[in-house]
Amino acid sequence: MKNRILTISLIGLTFLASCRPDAPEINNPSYDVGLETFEAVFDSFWHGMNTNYAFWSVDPTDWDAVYDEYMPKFISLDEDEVLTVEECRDKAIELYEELTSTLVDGHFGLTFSFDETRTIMPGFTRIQSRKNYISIEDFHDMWKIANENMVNSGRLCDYDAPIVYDSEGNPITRVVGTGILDNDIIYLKVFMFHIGDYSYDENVTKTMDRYYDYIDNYPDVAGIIIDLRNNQGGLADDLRLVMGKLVKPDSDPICYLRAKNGPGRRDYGPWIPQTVNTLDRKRELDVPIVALANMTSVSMAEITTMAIQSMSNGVFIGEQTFGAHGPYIPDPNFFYLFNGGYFKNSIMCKQ
Amino acid sequence: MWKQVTVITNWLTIDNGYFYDFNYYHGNGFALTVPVQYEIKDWLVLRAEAAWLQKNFGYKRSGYSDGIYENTYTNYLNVPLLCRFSFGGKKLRGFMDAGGYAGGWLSAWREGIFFRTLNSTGNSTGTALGDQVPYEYDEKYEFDSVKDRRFEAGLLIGAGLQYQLTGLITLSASCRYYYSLTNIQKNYMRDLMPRFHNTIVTQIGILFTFEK
Repeated sequence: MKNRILTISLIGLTFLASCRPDAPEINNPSYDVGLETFEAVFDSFWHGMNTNYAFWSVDPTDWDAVYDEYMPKFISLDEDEVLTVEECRDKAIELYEELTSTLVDGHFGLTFSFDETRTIMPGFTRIQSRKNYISIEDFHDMWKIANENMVNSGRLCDYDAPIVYDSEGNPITRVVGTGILDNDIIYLKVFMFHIGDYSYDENVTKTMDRYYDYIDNYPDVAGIIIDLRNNQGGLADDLRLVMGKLVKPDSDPICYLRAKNGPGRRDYGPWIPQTVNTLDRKRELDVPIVALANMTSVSMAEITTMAIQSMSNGVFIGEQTFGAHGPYIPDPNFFYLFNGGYFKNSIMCKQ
Repeated sequence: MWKQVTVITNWLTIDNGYFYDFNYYHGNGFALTVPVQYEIKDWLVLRAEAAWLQKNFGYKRSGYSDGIYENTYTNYLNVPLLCRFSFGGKKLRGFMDAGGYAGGWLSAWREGIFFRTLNSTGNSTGTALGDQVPYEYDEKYEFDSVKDRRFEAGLLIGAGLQYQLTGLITLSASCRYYYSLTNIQKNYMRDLMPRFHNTIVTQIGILFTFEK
């Protein structure tokens, strides 16, 4: 009797112990090579996003519902015998545009590379639908006229924003410009956060040195304006170059960031306070610091705006910015570090 | 009256997919148990307990992420319900436990090291903690109502020995394995990687019997 009860108990426990479900098999999308069907490509993309997209805790998109709704459509495209290959491809890109349209991360972009390159960026589509939308190019033209007027009228003095040239003397871009506005306001125009990248150019270095000299030595400073409008972002390390002399060591955090620490959509590490690495300075300027930003201020331009806004003497003047705050590294070798971000797969095209 | 020392070793059954640089390891902890039992036969006892258990675990990372780790300390209240089958003589008896348990995840704490994404050291060392300013954290874990399952249930099996030293004092040593059947995460997403606790509880105790 005793042995019978014991045996039945052990068998029952063994049976119930098999109730744990197996882990699903998830593939690294970067190893999905030679995919041959729209179904396979969508499956790879969907699973990559399922584990790598970092914003599921705030994104309202029902990603499971996207799979249920769009997988049949891609299967249908594979089975279509009416459309040409190019028409199927265009239709597929249209479907991707549709299914990614609600993703909130402004950094999100989906690039298709075949005989041409096409990129979908829901963030750009969103700002184009704003009532007061103005394109990057149109804003730049407006800003250039306003800037020239400021210089010609004498309000903006000693202003210089040197052009960077390549080794063959061809102009590449402007990076930074600085001057004094109305005799007592330090003005810094940051065209892009690649100051560090172009620091080999002595004109860029000289411009930054002038900016630092203004902060350390210019008499009777009444304020500082950092113009981040139309800035598409860039290197996180440039934050130190722009803000390093304006913050005290041990200042309060400018923001908090967290990274994913697992394959689940909501597997996150702790919120980590982010501060500005400081630069040596000769004095502390207790004056208003103003960030100018607009709808085409992206990424580091937005983070810098947040940094200024977090300061007790910081002010943000402008409009709702682009919406791309999460730092990322556009290199698939780094998504292991963050359990998220950039990935790519490869497709064998239908002939 | 029981007096006992309980030591726990816990680990997660977990698959981290293709994030190969994550290496999970077991954690150790303690427990407090209050048992009650009803003797059905001299060899069969029905036993219930109220147990506070620490089910701890951690991970460390390798490669470029070398040095990054996190330890998680979780507190559970479990109520095991089990049959105890005993055998042997009057002084020295062996026993086997088999049954199940249910309970709840009360709280959690985590500590570890990561880095400040916006603060580089300016060095290129080949490791994240050398290239970026490290950040050590030690904080209460805030439950995520979408993700975290706070109810836990599972099976248990154990064995032990009991030695009656005198008419008043009985020594006991046992080892029990808790096999969780509930994923510590709710089924909130397609292709969820399940995570289950596995807990070994080792107990040494003294029973004082007072009779009028």
